[in-house]
Order: sequence, then structure tokens, then C-alpha cells
Amino acid sequence: MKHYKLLWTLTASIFLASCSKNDSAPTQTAIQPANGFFILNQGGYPDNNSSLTYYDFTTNSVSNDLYQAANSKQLGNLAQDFIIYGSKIYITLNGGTSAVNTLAVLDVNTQKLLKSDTINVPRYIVSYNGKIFVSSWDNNVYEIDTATYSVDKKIPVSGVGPEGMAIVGSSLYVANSGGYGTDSTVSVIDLNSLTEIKKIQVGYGASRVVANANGDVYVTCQGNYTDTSLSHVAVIDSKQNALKTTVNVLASQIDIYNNNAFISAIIYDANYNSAIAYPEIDLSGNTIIKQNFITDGTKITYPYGIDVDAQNGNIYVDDASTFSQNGSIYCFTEDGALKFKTSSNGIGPCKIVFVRS
Amino acid sequence: MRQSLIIFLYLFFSSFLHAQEDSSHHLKEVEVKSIKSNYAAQSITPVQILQHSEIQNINGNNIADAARYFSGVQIKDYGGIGGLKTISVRSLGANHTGVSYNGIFLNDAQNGQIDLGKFSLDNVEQIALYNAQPANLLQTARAFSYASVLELKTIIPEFNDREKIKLKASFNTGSFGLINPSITMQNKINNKLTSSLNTDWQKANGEYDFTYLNGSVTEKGRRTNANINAFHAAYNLRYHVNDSNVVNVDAYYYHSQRGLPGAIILNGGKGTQRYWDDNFFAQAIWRKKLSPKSEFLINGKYNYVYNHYLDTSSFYPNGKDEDIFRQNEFYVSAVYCYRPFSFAQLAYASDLFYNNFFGKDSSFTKQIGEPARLTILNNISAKLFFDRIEIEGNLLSTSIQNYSDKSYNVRSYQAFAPTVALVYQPIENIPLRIRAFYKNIFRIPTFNDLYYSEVPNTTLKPEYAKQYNIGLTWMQNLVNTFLQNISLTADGYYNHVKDMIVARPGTNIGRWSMHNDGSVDIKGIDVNAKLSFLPIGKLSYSLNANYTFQKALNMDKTYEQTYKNQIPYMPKNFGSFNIQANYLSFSFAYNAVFSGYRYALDQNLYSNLLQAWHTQDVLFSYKIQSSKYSSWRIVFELNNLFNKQYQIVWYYPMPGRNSKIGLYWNI
Repeated sequence: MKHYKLLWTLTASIFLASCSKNDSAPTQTAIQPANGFFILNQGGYPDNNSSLTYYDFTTNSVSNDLYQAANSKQLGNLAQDFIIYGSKIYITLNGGTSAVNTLAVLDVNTQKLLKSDTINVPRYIVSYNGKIFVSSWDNNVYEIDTATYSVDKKIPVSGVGPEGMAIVGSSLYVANSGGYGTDSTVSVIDLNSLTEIKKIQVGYGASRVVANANGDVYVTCQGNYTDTSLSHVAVIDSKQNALKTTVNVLASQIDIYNNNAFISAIIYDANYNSAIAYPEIDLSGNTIIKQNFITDGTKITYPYGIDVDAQNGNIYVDDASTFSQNGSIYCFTEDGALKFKTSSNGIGPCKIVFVRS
Repeated sequence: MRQSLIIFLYLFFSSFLHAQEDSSHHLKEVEVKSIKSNYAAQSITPVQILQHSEIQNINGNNIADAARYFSGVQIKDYGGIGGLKTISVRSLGANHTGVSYNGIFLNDAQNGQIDLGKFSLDNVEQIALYNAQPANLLQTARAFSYASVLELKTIIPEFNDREKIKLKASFNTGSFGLINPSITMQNKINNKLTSSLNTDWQKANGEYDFTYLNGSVTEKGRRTNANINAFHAAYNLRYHVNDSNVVNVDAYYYHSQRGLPGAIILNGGKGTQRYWDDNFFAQAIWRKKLSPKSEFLINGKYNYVYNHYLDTSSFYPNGKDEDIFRQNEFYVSAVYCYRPFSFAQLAYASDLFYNNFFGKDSSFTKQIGEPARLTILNNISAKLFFDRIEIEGNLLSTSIQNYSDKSYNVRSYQAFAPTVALVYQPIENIPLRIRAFYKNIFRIPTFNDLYYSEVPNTTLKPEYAKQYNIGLTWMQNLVNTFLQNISLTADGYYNHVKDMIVARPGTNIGRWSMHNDGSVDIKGIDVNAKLSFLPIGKLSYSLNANYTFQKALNMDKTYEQTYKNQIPYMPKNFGSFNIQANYLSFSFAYNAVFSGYRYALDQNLYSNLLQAWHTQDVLFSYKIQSSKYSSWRIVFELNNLFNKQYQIVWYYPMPGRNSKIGLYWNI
């Protein structure tokens, strides 16, 4: 009979032990964005854990996922980019090659989903004259109407894998990243006729595009995965629509403040170690000011996005870490000293957008 | 009954370790079962065994469905009939578990993992799981080279004097559009030579409905692009001169093509990926006793693997992404075992195998090139037997030379790995035994680890797993009591993994590279109870319960947020429970599995949480003896009775309630 007892104890322990985890989802109410920034967390593939969080400058605290709090559902898989335009947040989500992917439109104040549009592998977003332009790896740039949130026009691009974009005058510059193949060009789209008017050779792995006040366009080129020494910044003269020069620095992400470009890069070197670099370029002469704008030795595991606060020149670097734990946002002063660090409360932070009241 | 008990006791006390192999087919099923479960409790290293009769009462199609009833085991199951199923023992990961087929190890040099879903339960005689290694010294060196070993043995044909040919046919059908006919032909060529050919065809659309949680909303979905068409044929030729001289030859062929349904993607579309899979191997084993003191074992194998992966998504520049891989393995092994004294046994094993790999066309296969590897394993082992104590130790030497047709800086490896184990019975008449082992073993980086990532890291080091185990076993057979056969085992263990091979993101999220970054501490307890009871009239029944508690903590201090977090996909609590009952020609089984909550990512946060799950299955069968030589058996399985919706791998939904009916005919 002793064994009987043992058996029951054993059985009972299995039942008890296998009880569900009682944790409930972290709660979050909608926030009223005033002084702070939204953080887009890309999430991992195929984990459906993209999220949108908010850092408040007044309370110095970061929210939990606002999208899920406002909409009960999850944002989706692999968020790529977002912008705030008018009173709306536009987010691209690309789910890999089996794509029926989306452009999500949210109300900025309630973070409620207003519309979800189907766009194949949508990548980056820019706004222009009441319209939204979305690049897509189906080799088009989509023009979206901001009243109906639906596609107005599909603009075919002759390059492969349209990626980052910038607008100068009425010209849209879109980097042809290569997508799932290879390419090394930037396409120029005329926003009046909504057609591609030119293609400019810039280098392999063109990724992010920014423009400065002088009308020069800066394109980060990451190389072609086998020869990382090809990584550089290509400078396009928008008046000539021609390559002006190249700056030989490792470059993945880029943002501009005071006619200086702040760049982050994560490229592997020949010894299989990741080479991480934070070059700073003076855009008036296209000269390298610093090889590393971070001056206090702060180590970031995986720089995944860079945004400079236009109001004060603070530089924000997103650390995606290992994509298996929540990322962090590092804030540096213009001198490159760490000002503060916060969790992004999500996996793989890739972009922040500032909000001021 | 009394007679068989005497036979049993004789076997048990005289030579319990060797009894199980040679004498089994002289005994009836019931006795065999008792001996085997006793063997499990007496083994110097922990072992769990499922016999054919038990396997018949387990719901499922493949080895993975059976292996999840072993304690300490996690089956990583991507769901459905065609979904990848790999085994991880004591949180060490699939690459640390060797899987052997009739004595010789299966191998995939490319990814190091064996898909257990490919092996049907149809023709399996026995599945055994050994922690550390099988206790028998007459083993290939390779058997000592894993952290644990899953051993498959196919049915050996048995004939009585007048039988020449036996035929078994079965047909299974049920949920997921399953059609699964199988034919086995066994042939007695002469008194010493028998053959068996087992063929099995499986076709299914693999589709099922599921629900899942999206935030706090329950959503419905259907798993599509999940069809599978698989065929397998296994030929066995056995030349059995006597129990001391046996040659065993196997030829095995597997072919499948399947859709890969992929994960649920909230903003995604239908899967566009297909996968073709061919495997052929031929192997031979010769075991001969030269004298009562000495014995040898010679093995040889050729293995061929073909994988073809195709993604027809329109987003690829040519409208597709395609990879074709081929692998060969040539393997030879010789073992010599000598018993100089009645209390000591020594063995030496030497294995040599050569693996090569060919890719075709795609950018990835261009990068991986045509690597090859030569592995030489040498193992020396010794065992000492005393009255109530047995000690075993071995030292394995591994020498590996890598070759690459690329300009990669390939490295060679040379390492020694020791194991010591003992079992001790403190008091003579009390069937309590204490067992313990220590094993320090490693896994060599696979071809994928070395070459297939975005930036090949050909300087990867082996991943080491140190294992400590201490356990108690209680095994007892009683006469005319309520409980007839008791086998209880409890083991506590500590594993430490260093230089763990982990993927870290490369220049973008889709491209990763491998690093020796991780370190994991695993502390666990495995408890197993196997009980058979005195029949109530014509109702006989038995019970099996397993429970595992384990803390598998990430000890990598590089990341503060994940330090000492439970590693992904390892539940702290896991258990299984089986009841089998027979009444006349009816039999019934209840099989249940329970898993605690897990995390899908390194950081133990609610947002990475995978909920606990359990499944409960029942099985009914009825046997008809239609004539002296032919019998029918009809089996009905109802799986996941309560339609539990769950995921083992994040966003790979598992099937809900499903059923299967099978008809088996023996002649």
C-alpha cells in the first residue's frame, strides 16, 4: 500500500506542477503623447512580436506595448519603419516571403488602428504633400492617400528591393537594396509625374537615404555580404542627379543634425567579428570628423537604428541586442557622452520618432 | 505461470545484464517485459525502454510520439504529420542526442539533427533512451560520443519450425487526410537465414483547424501547405548461426516530399515552401563470440542524404529560391571485448567515418561549398563487477579533420572525453540500487554551423556538455500481491554546457552567424514509475508515469537581462502518464503528456511566454484470431481528447482533437 501512496503523490505532483503560469499580460492604457518619443520594436521572425512603445521625457519612463493595449491584438510581424504624419502613425510590417503584408494606420492619440492596408513586403515610409510613399520589395513605390489610407498609385521601380527614401524638391530618391537579390543603384522618381526618371549607380547594399538642406542626398551602402570593405556613404547631387562623391566609412543607419551626419554600422570583418562603427561626417565638405562619435566608451551590442533629436541634437541609438531579449535605447549628447539609457520594452528597436507638445 | 517465474528469476540472478538479448525469444511476451523493465532499473546508466507491446498502445505515427513518454525528454515538434520533430534530452539540445538504428548511428553532418517524424512506429521492436551511453561495452566508439542515445531496434522475424513466410499488412486512415498502408514480409530462407522487408507509404494533406491567441483575442486559423507524401522501405537480412555468431544487414530507403506550412504570420500569407527528402543507407554488423572470454563486433555503413528546398515566392529575383544538398557518409567500426577475469571486462572500439557534402547553385550553397570531414574515434572502456557493485569507465578520443574547397580557415579537433559510472546495491536482499555517472562530452560544429551562416565562422569550437547524475532505483517482483512488478527510478542531475554554439544576428535580421557564446547550467530530477498489477479476473493492467523537473539557466554573463533566465523551450515541469489494460481480446490505453509553461526567447518575460499544455489520448484495440496462423487487429485512436489548442514551438500550432483507425492483418 505504501507504493499506492507514492503513486498518488507522484500523480498529484505532475498535475500541480504542470499548472499554467499565472502571470497576466502587463497592463497599459493609451498614452497622450506630449514630450517624448515613440519606439518601434521590429520583433523577431516569425514571432509576431512587433510592438510600439513610448518614452516620456517628463516621467523618464517607457511604456509597454501601446498597440496591444489599444487594439487587444498584436501589431504583427517584422515592423520595418514608421512615421507620424498629421495625427496618424503609419507603420510598415513585412512578414517575409509568404507575404500579404500591411501598412497599419493608427491614431496618434489613441493608438487605435484605423486601417490596415495590404502591401507586399512594405519597407520604408516618407510623406509629401498630403501623401505617404511606401517602398516595397515587390519593386514598387506605393503612393497612399492620407484621407482614405488606400493606395492611390503604384510606381514601378526598375531596381531590386526598393528600401530607404528621401525627398528633395519634387524628386524622391529610393535606394535599391537588392532585396532578396542584389542591386547597387538609387532610383529617382519624379513626384509630379509619379514615374522613375533616372537610376544612379551608388554601390552594393544601398539601404538608408537622407537629404540635407543643400539638396545633397546621402545613401548608406552596406556592401554585398561577401566584401564588406565595399561599405560606404554615397553622396548624390540632386541638381545633377549624379553621384558626387563617396565617403569611405562603414555605414548602415544614418541621420542628420546641423549638417553633420551621424552614422551607425554593424558589418562583419574578415575575422568573423562584428565591426561596429559610429562615424560622423561633416556634410559641407563630406569629410570624416570622427570615426566614432561615441566618446565615453559605451558599448552597444547591435546598433539597429539612429535618430537625432532635431530640437537639441541628442543622438539616439537603438540597440537590438540579441533579438532574444528586449532592446535598449541609448541617448548621447552631441559630444558623444551617454546621457541616459532605457529599455525599449520590446524586441529589436529599429526607429524612434519624437513628439513635442 | 510459476514455471515462467522460475525461468525469470534464474535469468535475473544469473546474468541479468546479458539475459535480455539472447534469451528473449524463448520466453513469452509477459516475461520479456518484466526482464526488460528490471534491466532498466539495474542499468549502470539510466535507461528507459519501450517494447513493441507498449509501443502498440501508444497513440501516434512516429518515434517522436513514443519518445515523449521518456522522462527528461523534450520533443521539439513543429506540428502535424510533416512537421519536424527533434529530441532534446535533459535540455542539451538535439545535437547532443545520438539516434541509432539497429546498432549503427544515423547522422546528418549538415545540421546534426535527426527528424524523428521520419521513422514510423510500424516495424519497431524497441525504443530505448540511455543517458550518457548504453551500458554494454560491446558498442561502437560512436555510441560513447553523445550526451545521450536513443536506440531504435526493428522487429526481428521469428518463425516456428513449419513457418516459411509471414505477411503483415496494415492500413491506417483518419484525420489530416491520412492514408497509410504498410506491408511487411518476413521470410525464413533456411534455419540460419531470415529476411524481412517492411514498406510503408504515407499520404496526407496535413491540414487542420486551430485557434491561437493574438494579444487577448482568440483567432481561428487553418494549417495549409502541409501535405506530405512519404515512402519508406526497410530490408533486413539476418544470418544467425547461433547466439554467439550473428550477421545483421540492413538496407533503408526513405523518400518524402512535403509542403512547409511555416509559422502563423499575423500579417503574412500562405506558405510557398516545399521540401524533398531522400535518405538511403546500407549497413552490416557482425557480432561473434570467439571464446567465453572474448567477443568482437564489426560494423560498416554507407549513408546518402538528398535534400531539396524550394520557395516559389514571387519576391525572389528568379521567382524562386532553391537549395539542393547532398551528403555521403562512409563508416567503419571494429570493437573487441575481452573478459580477463570474471570480475573485469575490457573493450576497445575504433570508428572511422568520412562525411562529405555537395550543394548546388544557390548563393548559400555556393558559400558552403563542398566541405568534408574525417572523424576517427577511439574508445577504451573497462567494467568491473563485484557482488553488489559495478563500475564502468571509458575514455573516448576524437580526432577530426575538416576539409573545405573554399579558402576557409578550417580547423581540426582533437579531444579526449571521459565517462565514469557505477551502480551499487547497498543491502543484499533489498532491491534498492544507487547509480551515478559523470560524463564530459562535446558536440562538433555541424557543416551548417561552420559554413551556412551569413558570415561563416569556420573557427567555431566544439560545444561541451558536462553531465553529473546520481540516482536511486527500486525494482521488485512480487508474487500474488496487488502490485506484481515495481520499477521506480529517481535521478538527480547537473549538466553544464560551455562554449554553446548560438546564432547571433548578422548585418540584418535574416542573416545570422554562429558563435561559441552560450553557457547553460541545468539542474534536474527525473522520476519514473512503472507498475504492473495483479490481474482482476481477466483484466490485466499496468501503469507508467514520468516526471521531470528541471532548471536550465542561461549563465552567459554578457547580457544582464537574460543571465540566470530559463533557456528557451525548456519547461520547468514535464510529465507523462500511461495506463494500459487488456481484457480478453480488447485492449485499452490512456496516454497523457503534461508540459509546464516555457519561454520562446532568452528573456523570461510575459511577452515571450508559451503557455503550459497537456494532451490526453485514448486507444482501443480488438484482436481477432481468425485461424491458427492469421489474426486481425483493429485499432482506434482518439488523440488530444479535450481539443487542447497549444504550441510547442512559438506560432507553430499543434493539432487539436484528431483520430485514426487502423486495421492490421497478420498471416
